Amino acid sequence: MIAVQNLSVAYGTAQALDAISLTLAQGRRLAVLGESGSGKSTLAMAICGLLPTGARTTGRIGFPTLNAPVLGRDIGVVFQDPAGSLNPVLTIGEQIAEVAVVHRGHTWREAEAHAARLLDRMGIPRPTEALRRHPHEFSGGQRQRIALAAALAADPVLLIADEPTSALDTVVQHAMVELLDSLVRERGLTLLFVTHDIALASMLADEVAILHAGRLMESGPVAQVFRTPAHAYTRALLAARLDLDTPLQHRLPEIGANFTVVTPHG
Amino acid sequence: MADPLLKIRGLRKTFTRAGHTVAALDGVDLDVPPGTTVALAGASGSGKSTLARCVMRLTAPDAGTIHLAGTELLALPEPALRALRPRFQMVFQDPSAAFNPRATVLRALSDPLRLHNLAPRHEWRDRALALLQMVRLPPDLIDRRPHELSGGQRQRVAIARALATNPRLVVLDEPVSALDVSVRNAVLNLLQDLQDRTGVAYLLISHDLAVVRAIARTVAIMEAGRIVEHGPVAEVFAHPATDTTRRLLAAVPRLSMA
Repeated sequence: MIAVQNLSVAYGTAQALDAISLTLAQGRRLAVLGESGSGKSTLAMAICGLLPTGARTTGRIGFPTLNAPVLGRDIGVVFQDPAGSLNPVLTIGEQIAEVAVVHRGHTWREAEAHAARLLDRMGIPRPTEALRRHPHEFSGGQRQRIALAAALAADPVLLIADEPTSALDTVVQHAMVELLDSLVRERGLTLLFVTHDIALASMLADEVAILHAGRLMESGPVAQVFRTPAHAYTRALLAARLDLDTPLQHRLPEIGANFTVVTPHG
Repeated sequence: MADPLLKIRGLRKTFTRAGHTVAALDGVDLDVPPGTTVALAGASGSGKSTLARCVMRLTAPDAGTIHLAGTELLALPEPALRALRPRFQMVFQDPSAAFNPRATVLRALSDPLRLHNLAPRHEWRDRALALLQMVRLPPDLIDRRPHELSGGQRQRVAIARALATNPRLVVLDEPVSALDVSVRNAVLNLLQDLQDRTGVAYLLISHDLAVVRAIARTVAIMEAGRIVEHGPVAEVFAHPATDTTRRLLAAVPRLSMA
């Protein structure tokens, strides 16, 4: 569904992406994993056609299975900060319904009913009343679910989610990840999910592309990349992850120069 | 067991929002022994940040007492509080919001010395250089401004600034949740090393039980303004007694290679 060939993006003199090539097949879920400055969001925005003016792009981004895809209709987008996708002065009902009116030719009445069904699916309580409310009346986790409802309102085939859970606490993040996972399965969506969290990437994706400083370190099926990492950076990320198996109150492995991993003595 | 460094009893705080009264703190008791790390964990809105703000006297509680090394903080008049300020400090989640964007690292690190009259002006630079070395930053950062530093460097400067006054207690409010994975562990190790060297106690505020597990000895789990579970990290994590704790544990992402 997505074919990226030799994509480079520069802002001024700063090279954000350097000759990236990757493909994503229909119905597959790809995690783009990286730290700040890795270029992971630049890659997602380039695929959406949402790079800022002034970005210099070379290479190709193709959608072989889509005929002239339209953002909002064929491709849905969710950003880290729902403030980036939701307009504070419009009710959430107007914003979700508008997507269905503009892209699917629904009447407003049909679109509002559609929006209420979507909000219900997103787990927003009393969806019909919720339609009349403004974004600030909801919690951060709810706003992100509302942004997801708007992203899906025109039934896109491809969903691009740029760190949709990293502004949320772990409990709300967990619920959001489960919701995303079930929506992707029931709608047969193709998913491109940008994250800095290696465990989230492994939970939500079939394939992973690991970026560092604008370069693709390695990519492939999640199980293969994480079981037999080919690149030292992947091994370092695996070694440095924290979870419930991390030893209690011990010194932790640190990532040093050239991605070497050292555990200091406490 | 030694007397607690920080002793909180019966802390209450209600907020009124949109006509509703919400108990942010609903009778909280908590001790932090000297030289140890106690974590306060809970989801957003559980009250953990309100508790941290009360300890720092940034928010006034409605009822309760907070003793720091035997002194009741809440009853303390402003001049006496100012004299005690060097003993308790805070490190915030977002290191970029915690600095004056126009002030250099030297200024950020010497401000606490100046404010609390802890060192004469001609010693500031040497003291700032020693602090940079303590948090393992190179000396040439001293004349940089916050935006010229990486996120990890800024958080190390924030830790250095908090430790400039040789405090007994530092409140760490989500200290690594805005940091990249490649620098997060180094900052957590640094915090542990500094505790070993200086005997500082930490009150760690976090929603992430993986971070709690890495550096805290004791954990208190909060929900709806109450501490619902409290004990050694190893015991609470192995045998959670409440659904709140079980939910927080289940929310920690796990590497899956299925």
